[in-house]
Amino acid sequence: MVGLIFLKPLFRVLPVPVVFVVLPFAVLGWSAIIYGALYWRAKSFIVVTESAVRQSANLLTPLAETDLGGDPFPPMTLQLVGGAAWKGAAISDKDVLLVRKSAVEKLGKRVLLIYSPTQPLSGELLIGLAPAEADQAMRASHSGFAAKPGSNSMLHFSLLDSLHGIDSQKLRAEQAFIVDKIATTMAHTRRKVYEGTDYYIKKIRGYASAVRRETPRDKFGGFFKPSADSEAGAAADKERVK
Amino acid sequence: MKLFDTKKPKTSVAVMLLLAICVLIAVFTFSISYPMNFMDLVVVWTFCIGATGIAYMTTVKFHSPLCLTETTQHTTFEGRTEVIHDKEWNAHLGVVFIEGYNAAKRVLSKEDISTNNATTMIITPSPFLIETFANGRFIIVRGDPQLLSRSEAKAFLARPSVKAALGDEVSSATIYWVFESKSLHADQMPADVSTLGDLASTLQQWHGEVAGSGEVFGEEFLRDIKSIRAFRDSPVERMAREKDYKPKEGEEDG
Repeated sequence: MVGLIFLKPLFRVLPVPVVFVVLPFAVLGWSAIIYGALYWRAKSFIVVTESAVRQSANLLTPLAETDLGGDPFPPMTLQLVGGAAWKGAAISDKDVLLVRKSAVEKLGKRVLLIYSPTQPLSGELLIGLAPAEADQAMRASHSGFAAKPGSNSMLHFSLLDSLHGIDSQKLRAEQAFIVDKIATTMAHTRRKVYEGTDYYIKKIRGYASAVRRETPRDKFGGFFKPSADSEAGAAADKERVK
Repeated sequence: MKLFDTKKPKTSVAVMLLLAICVLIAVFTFSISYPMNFMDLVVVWTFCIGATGIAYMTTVKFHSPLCLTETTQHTTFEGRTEVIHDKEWNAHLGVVFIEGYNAAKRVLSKEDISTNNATTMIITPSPFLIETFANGRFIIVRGDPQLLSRSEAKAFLARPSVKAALGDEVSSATIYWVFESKSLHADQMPADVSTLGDLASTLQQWHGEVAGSGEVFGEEFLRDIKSIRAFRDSPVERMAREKDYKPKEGEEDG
């Protein structure tokens, strides 16, 4: 009874600013976006690599795989990772793993062990390192991988196989050398070949927009005080009029 | 690393517009009041904070070290494993401590063995069913862990050898026992896992197999070196080098 008397003021109707009603739901929505996706991924298939990277996956079925090896590459497998599938809902995989086939082992039904010290790279480099697989990864209907500028897709790449002893500091250096030497240049070359003259046109447009790019100060400061560029432009216009 | 850095920058006009909208919403929501029972407000806040907390806590699992078995997955603090020699059974048992967490990205951590000595363990009849992965960040237990009953767990912890090894740290525990493995090859495990008398001979056999496979590893290693060298000496690479060093015709004439 005494407790109820003390609690009574808490049950009064008060005029509450709407912000205090809306804010908790905003925080809930924000956390659902930030943590919800990770929670979802934590419940999905697990892919772990020797480089201590834990990935989630929508599927554990490789997207592309070679059965026979041949110089210079051994049999390789391309696995899509970074997505999620749990309780009837799924997110497509946005990253890829390109590793030796012999270094992959499935543990149980939900875990894929990759016995390779994978090198995390930009997804665009897959175009240079494994062009055919890159095309497959970008065009498969269930893949979210995008080897495009500005995309967040990652490539986890390795030619090594710790399970069978094919891993040493020298070999890791060799692998990094191959990436540095081949990947970027091949990716550039392929893009040029695919896009033809459009490649150069896009480049020129990119450079032009970069030169013309204005800072916020230029945009908003210009209302009050003309910037140095606009002053120079105005002076040049005057010269032309003359 | 951006190869083709043509991503358009966010326009500052849009950012300023967004900021202005946020300020307007803040001003309006502060100035507009809504008649509401105070306890209702408390309930709403408690629910939202609770839901956020649960979502945050569950993501800790993603960033913690893991112990993976054939059927289950557990988080661990540091992937602690031990080998206990049970004199009565004349067997070496593998022990993995689990259910702690250590997510630096999520600021939270909990030891596998807490201060009240409560812990969770996976016991394997052979240490060779346990494998460390990624320099110990992930522990692989090759088997299907079965939960022991309380009395079984108590009896196990009371065994003299186990008590001597873990008694100071663990007084009570939730114990999972691995009886068999489906992911090891048949010739790598004894046919009868319940009899461990031939452990030494089995170990000797395994040692021989590992030593034999060492030669295969060596051959594979050399093959890989040759592959990389062959790749470097490929026609594409050779042509690229020749193009770099060969003087052009016009230069020769000049």
